[in-house]
Amino acid sequence: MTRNLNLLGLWGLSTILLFAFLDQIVLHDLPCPLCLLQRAAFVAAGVGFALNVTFGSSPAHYGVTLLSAIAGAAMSARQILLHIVPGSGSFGQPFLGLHFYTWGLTAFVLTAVAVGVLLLVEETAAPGHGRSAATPASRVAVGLFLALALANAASTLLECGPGMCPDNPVSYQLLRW
Amino acid sequence: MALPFATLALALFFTWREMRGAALAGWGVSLLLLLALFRWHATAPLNLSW
Repeated sequence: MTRNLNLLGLWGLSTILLFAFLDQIVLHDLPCPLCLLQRAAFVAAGVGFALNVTFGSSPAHYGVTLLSAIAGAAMSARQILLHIVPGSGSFGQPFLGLHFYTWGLTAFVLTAVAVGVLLLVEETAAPGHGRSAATPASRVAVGLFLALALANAASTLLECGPGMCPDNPVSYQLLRW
Repeated sequence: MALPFATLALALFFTWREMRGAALAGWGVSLLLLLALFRWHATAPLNLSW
């Protein structure tokens, strides 16, 4: 059962990354430096779920997701705190009344809670841990997640170039001719 | 800032190729990179558009 829940977690994180990408491409809402760090933290959290569906569940894999979610939550919380002062404005367009960094904090906390629940219901590690437990469904999910990570790497390179991103990006640096 | 995405993609590629040790190492490097970038951000001059 936990295998399917891990798969669900991986699809959930893929949906978040896909939605952020759609917002970037369709609404031309370019991600800021902190937004990019949060996206990367979502990808890092997904590595733990991907390891679980590929090799079977392990405390180390859950640790990967949990540590990444905590790092991502810290980044989201910092961005919320930057904008919490009245008159300091906000970054990007809100979605359902909340900004993406607020949704980000919610998603990171939910991911950490999901890891806790999965560890509660997890059965004892089966013998032969570390060997392949991959199925066609898991390979498709991991493949899609890998494609999203690559797409984010390409998009970030286009937006920021090889160095740091501008504070408030309005165009793709490598597409300026 | 594309580097953490690239190293994470590498970790996922190793996962996909079922190379567990390499995947965990790739994730570790990625997290350290992310934390270093976050520290850079936290110590840079404050800009509320971030």
